[in-house]
Amino acid sequence: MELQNWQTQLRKGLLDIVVLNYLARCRCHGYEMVQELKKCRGLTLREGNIYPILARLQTDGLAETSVEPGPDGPPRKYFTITSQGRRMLEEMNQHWDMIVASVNQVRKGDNP
Amino acid sequence: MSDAEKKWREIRDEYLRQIEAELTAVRRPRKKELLADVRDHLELRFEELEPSQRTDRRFKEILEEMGPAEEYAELLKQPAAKKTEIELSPRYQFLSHLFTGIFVIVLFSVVGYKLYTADIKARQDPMQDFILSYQLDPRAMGRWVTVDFVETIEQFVPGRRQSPRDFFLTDLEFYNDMKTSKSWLWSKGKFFDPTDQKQGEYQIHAIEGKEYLFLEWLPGQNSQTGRSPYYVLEKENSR
Repeated sequence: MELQNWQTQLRKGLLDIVVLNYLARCRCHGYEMVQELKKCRGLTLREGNIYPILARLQTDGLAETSVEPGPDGPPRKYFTITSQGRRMLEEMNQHWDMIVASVNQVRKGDNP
Repeated sequence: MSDAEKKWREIRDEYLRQIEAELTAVRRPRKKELLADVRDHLELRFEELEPSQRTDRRFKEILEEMGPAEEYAELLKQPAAKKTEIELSPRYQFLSHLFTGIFVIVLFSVVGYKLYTADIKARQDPMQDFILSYQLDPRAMGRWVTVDFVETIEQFVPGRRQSPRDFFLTDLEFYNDMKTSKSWLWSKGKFFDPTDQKQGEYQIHAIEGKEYLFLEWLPGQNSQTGRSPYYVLEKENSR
């Protein structure tokens, strides 16, 4: 098993929960989200990864968009989490917490 | 347009073509939106570059930072996180409910129409209705001969003829296939005249040891009282 491969797969698997958590904080433009998430080094985010995730979240009703005039130029598309997205995110976050706790439990050698 | 911009557009468009090619095999919506979003993103990256940074090498670095084209397809077709119960997008739910509602309405309309037309047809075809309700009456089977014509059944007295007139109906035979010796059809307790599309009744009573058939005579019906006189017939065998 290659570490880089594992890291890549892990990153891809986490993108949904990462993007939804970001949208839950604020309504944003895709470009802004990328710039912010790039600061989270552990994510090793590829800039383009955001867009297929956002497209899928829209299709699944977890995010929606609105087009507004840009600050200096063409209109921009802004993404927002939907109420359905919030409900989904709540469950995802709970599940994430459980996974993290379980992994740490095993790491510490505690009985599962 | 500067050379740098031309070069950038070539590299950008080639990158977008690669993504589009990767997305061809993906059966998910919003592929055009995705490409438009990536294009907009790339434009913003280019605009942020200082003129001195607008080199082929920097352009390629930007594309590397965007990620390989195949990742777009991989991430787009990745199954979404699912709730514990299946949940569809609002638009799909609405369309699903709409089509279900239309289907139910159409189904009830068709069934209702069929029932309605069947009822109408039955009402318009009383003979059909009569035939469908046929019941055999063994007591009626055979030949009957007229012995009297009375206003009411109670008026009849065996051996004492009430009517002085000649009988129009002199006899009547009931066959076992619903037919009679006249044009009428018969069923237990009733008969049907196809000419008038009218239905009348008959009754069989045993009086003084003999069976008499009282046949409602519809042409003689009193328009005010609605009551009809009766032909009284005696079974031929019993004579």
